[in-house]
Amino acid sequence: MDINQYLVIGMFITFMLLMFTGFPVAWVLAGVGVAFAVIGYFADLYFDAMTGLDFLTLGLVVNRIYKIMDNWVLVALPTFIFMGIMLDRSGVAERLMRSMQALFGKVRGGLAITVTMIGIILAASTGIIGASVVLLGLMSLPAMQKQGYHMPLALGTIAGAGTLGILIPPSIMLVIMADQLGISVGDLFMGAVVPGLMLGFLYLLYIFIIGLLKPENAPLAGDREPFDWRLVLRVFRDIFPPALLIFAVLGSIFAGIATPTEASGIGALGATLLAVFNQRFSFKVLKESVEGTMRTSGYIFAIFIGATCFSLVLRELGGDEVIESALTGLPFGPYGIVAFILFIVFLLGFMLDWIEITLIVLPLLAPVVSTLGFDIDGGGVVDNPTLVWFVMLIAVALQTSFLTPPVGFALFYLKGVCPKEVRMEHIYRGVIPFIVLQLVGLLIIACWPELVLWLPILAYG
Amino acid sequence: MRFYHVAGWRISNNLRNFSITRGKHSVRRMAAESKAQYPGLLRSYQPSLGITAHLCRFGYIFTFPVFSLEKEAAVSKGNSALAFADLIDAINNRVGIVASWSYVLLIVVIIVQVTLRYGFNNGLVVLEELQWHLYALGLMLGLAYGQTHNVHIRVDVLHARFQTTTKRIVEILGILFLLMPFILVVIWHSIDFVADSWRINEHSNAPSGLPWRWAIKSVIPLSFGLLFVSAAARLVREITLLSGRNT
Repeated sequence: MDINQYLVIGMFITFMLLMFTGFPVAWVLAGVGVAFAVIGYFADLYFDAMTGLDFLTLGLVVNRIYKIMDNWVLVALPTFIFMGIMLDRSGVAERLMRSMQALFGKVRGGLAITVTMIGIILAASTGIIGASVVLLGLMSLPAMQKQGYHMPLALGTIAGAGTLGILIPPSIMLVIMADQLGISVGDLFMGAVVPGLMLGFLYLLYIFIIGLLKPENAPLAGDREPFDWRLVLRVFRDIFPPALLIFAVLGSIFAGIATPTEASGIGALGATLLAVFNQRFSFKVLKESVEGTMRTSGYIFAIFIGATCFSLVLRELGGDEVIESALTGLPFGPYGIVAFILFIVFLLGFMLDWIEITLIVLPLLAPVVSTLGFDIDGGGVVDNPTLVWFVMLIAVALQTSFLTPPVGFALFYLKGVCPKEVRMEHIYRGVIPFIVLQLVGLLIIACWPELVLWLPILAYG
Repeated sequence: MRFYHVAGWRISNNLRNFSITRGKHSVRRMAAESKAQYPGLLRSYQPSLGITAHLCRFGYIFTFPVFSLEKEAAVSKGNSALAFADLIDAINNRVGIVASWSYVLLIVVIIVQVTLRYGFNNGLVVLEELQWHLYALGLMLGLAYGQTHNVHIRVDVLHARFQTTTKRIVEILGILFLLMPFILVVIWHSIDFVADSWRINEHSNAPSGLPWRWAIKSVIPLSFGLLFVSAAARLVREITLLSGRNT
């Protein structure tokens, strides 16, 4: 091993260690990048290393920052974030909750089904797992508790449905992944529709079966409304506006009418109009949403900027080749290597948010996967079908890792909004069936890439 | 309700904020705990705290407004270092709030562009470019705003268990050895970057695009300058509080 490889490994280890001090990850990335540029420079001077790093090379980071600013794809990001925060404030979720609960009142597990459906429909507002789990938890947990739900089932449903948002489009994670890997945002959005809905369907199926097998875990509501046309009309009236908004945003991208940026602008306007329509809109709400957007995009872009410094230095040190040779040297075969990558991503998901993983790890891994020689059929119309499929696997693996005890992110967010008598063990026990469902989903997607590519091929074909 | 900011002092004239709540925890103690960790940070300027006085008696919390300063302002009182940090934070906060409206403008521009393109079949290059200019402005100025509001993501598995003193030391060392060097490298190189653009009076590549490319490029040194002072304010605050603890 030459000195560059030691430096690459040293860089990763230093990052990991410093990250655990609790200093902001973005600045740890940036600082480690700068520090290893200095180390590389001295290694060239005194240890005959060939890094070529010096103060001038490090200056390339400014060009890279400008590349982030001058980026047509990422313009959609703050707009989608604004749309999400506005949808959150618009009161749509509460209305959906009330009317769907009435609709599913007669079914065992009706409340759990409602939570899952809202998780799917409002995935748009919930691209950030913390926000969605908190929203669903605050909204539905008291009701589920009152109705005498088995706590683990209730908690598992909320955690599972809350994390679906990172997968189901319009998800900001997919926008960033598309940007990093140079694939089209539309392709990824379309690719994510079937896997996302499939996972949601698996959840619903599980809840339904539990309702049949263990009726005492998912009791019926005591005060359920009679089922009549008025109720159906009300449900329709509550579901229609947000559903229309989501369909307009996604549909215009899928049909190739609008770019993701244009669709996100329309979505932001639509979410604001929904808030007006629900009489939740005021200047104060707008101001708070704007400031919330600023904060959320502030920390996401800080990681962009830190990661760009880190990966610049890593690339100069030859990190790409180190990773590539390490992975292709594994004696597993293509599917084995992908499984190994997914496992690593799953483990990283315990410590890192999807933002860091997408920005640091994914650009290193994707070229390796492209060269593994998968023969994924894109119908001749989808560019890079292998990468689209791979990104979906990564997304589901990440989502699973956020759900997995003992350190899944979603679980801690959920614990934060639970009443005191709910213990961490309840949450742990509750999510296990959902983790199994996730793994089943992951396996299905891995075995049948057609599920991912069906919609893009249909749209382009 | 109006607030007046004077160098780290916050004064309010809100008289309608009287309330009585019942709770196990004393609000005062909770506020004291959170402020012991990050006194004076802007995020503790919550409307429910500080501008009011809390009195805990008989299991009730009486909250009544006073023409007075926030608690953290009292910490800053007589301490010019903390007052200075408060002032920097207040400026950064104001700049961030103003800059955040660039995202609203962005949405408006996108909608105008969509209307022009699909309604009148006539998209404008200027509007396309304006979109990423606005986005870039928000994104870069959001860095310092995020730093001031302490929202940047931390891995807090261990951090949450650290003593306050340890947290302060992590913050001081991190700012000095990780954040500051990076900021200085970026500012140093970005000045050349902007100067080059200024020298050739760089224009958009598209003939009908926006002029003054150096203007958007100079957002890099500007925003990193703001980030620098924000980090410096945090550094001053942590060092002052750390040393105040030892004496």
